[in-house]
Amino acid sequence: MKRSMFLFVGVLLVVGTLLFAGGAKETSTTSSDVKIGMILGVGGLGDLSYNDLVYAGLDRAQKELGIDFDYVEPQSIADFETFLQQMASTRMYDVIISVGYDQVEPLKKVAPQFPNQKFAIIDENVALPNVASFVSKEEEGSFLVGALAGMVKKTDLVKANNTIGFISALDIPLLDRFYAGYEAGARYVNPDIKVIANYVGGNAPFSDITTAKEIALKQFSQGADIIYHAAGGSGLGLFQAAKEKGFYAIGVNSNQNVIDPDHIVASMLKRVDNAAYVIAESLVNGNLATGGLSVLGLASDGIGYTVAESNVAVGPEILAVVEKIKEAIVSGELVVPDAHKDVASFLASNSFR
Amino acid sequence: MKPKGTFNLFARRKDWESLWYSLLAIVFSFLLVALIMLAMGYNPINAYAALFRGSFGSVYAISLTLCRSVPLIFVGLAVGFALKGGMFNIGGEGQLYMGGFTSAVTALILPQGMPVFISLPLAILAGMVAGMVWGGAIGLIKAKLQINEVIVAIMLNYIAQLLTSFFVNKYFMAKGSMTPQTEILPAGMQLPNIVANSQLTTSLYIALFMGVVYWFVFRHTVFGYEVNALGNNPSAAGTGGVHTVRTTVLVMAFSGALASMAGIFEVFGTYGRFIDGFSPGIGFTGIAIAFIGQGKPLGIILAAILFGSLQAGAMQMSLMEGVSAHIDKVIQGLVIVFIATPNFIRYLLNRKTR
Repeated sequence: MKRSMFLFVGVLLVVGTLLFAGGAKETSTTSSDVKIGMILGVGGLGDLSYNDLVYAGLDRAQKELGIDFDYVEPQSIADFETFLQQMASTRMYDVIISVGYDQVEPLKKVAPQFPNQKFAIIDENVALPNVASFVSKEEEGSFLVGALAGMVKKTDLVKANNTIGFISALDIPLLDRFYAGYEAGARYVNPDIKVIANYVGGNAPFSDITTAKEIALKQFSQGADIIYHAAGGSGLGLFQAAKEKGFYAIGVNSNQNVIDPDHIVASMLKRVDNAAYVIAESLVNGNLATGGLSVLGLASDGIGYTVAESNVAVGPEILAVVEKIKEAIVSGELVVPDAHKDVASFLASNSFR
Repeated sequence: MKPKGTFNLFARRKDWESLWYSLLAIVFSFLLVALIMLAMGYNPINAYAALFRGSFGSVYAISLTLCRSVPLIFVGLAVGFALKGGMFNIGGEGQLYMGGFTSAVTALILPQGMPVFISLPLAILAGMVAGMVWGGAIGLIKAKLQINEVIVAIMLNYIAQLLTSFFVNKYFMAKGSMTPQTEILPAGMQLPNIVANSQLTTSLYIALFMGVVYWFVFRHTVFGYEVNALGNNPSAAGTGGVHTVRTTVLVMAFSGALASMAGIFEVFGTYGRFIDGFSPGIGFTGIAIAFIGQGKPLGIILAAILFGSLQAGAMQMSLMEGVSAHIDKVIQGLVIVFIATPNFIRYLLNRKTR
């Protein structure tokens, strides 16, 4: 029995070493003494979207500004409060960044408990004196890809049925901004276009690839052959469907064109990496203002779009129009609606020339 | 003596021997993980120092350790109780979801004007009844239909979690909330904090009290004696006058009630509301706790505090030393392996000599 015990321990050791080899974290050299704590969203790293983007932002700050940062990946929304308290109680961090709208309520509870700790939240507005809030104008970027889709529908790249689709994770105000911008953009350039919208819902709205794929196939069968999504990791289901059936998709958050360049026409860019970077930068400069709301839109490069790395040629004249619309939004000439219920009134008072 | 085929992991060895096994298992696991950390290029001494600081190094750390221990105590007692009766309650996860959800909804539905000393116990009781039904059903199916309780329990786990998730998402989601959780409970219904700015509440006292109740039942009641008899040898217990069907159902019902309290007091204590999917496998960890604690209440409480401290310290360790926070699960897993293996080997040996 003694010998089998040793054998067992030996096997475990070998397996353990193999499993964990290469998992070692490189220690970074830092030149600034700013230290940031970050609590990621439940999806965690590796989502090729939101969490990876924020991480990339702080990673860039580490290389360029010499800050240091730690992060945690919560397993469930119940972990947020614990992690916030735990990070705050170490008093190690100049700022603690909450990533994502679902950390609003834990943050509202914990921030007052640690009045001397600075917090920041990305994607929501928490009006507390020690919290800096950062939101993005997703409707502006969605408007541009919507306009692009609306114009592509007039070409012979796709079927002549004037129908496009939109897949959203949940019916919440944040994602309604994507929907509003997309439909307004499409109908702004193509007044008769029909936009079909569906929600993923369920237990894992942001990582339910199967449901998103089913929705995409259904929308395709209803005639939509350009489909945009605001569903995080679920969006991969849309891309699978697009590849199978040979229709077009539009990516979101990061440049998703690279995932399938033959079927993804464009991506709406939500530069949450810039938001994270801005937080680090203002800390280094000593001017991170808490208690306020920063809005990142097309004008401040917090939002954008790209057709780079896509093999689908939509034509320079369409892109030129999209650029013109972008200028109009940046100059304030065109104010994109941020709720779907306002799309009709927007279209009534703005017409495309 | 023990009949062939009965797999009762405790109540057979002397107390000091059990204690020795458990301690050895824990020490072995820590040493082994230290070697793994060395192989990964970390300094295990620094890592364990950080782990200790994160779990016992400050008032907040201690309160976090205890807060994480509370639900583990409840499920540890639940699994221990069922094992004493010869049954394996792997359904703690489902029972705690049913309990937590039912009590939260009851608390929200009861009229606001009702005095708290009536409404709070009523809500807790409702949750416990839900846990009893969810656990008792397993016992009933086992006793009447001879279907293995493990299979039933695992399936009921999925049903409970998805059912509560459905109801929260569909009918009880807090207004304006973008995450699946119920409204926050009325302030009077939330258990008071023991340490300010932490999640540790007076639910700790209730968990410890349930440990005393558990001890009392097995030490001083006929029912406890019958449960033990059933666990040691069901047919002998039946011949000896124990109503085996009734006792089987009752054991699982009480086990379910204990497990449901883990969920109930996460709702009324730690979170102040029901959150969809709040349990990171508490019900399953309870199995390990019961084994390490050898089914004894004090052992279960200490094992729960050990696992609670691992969970609490893991993040500190990952922040300070860069060691993955998941290493706490590796330690937990190894402890279980070391505890279970010697017993299992002994069990096999016993069978062979017969």
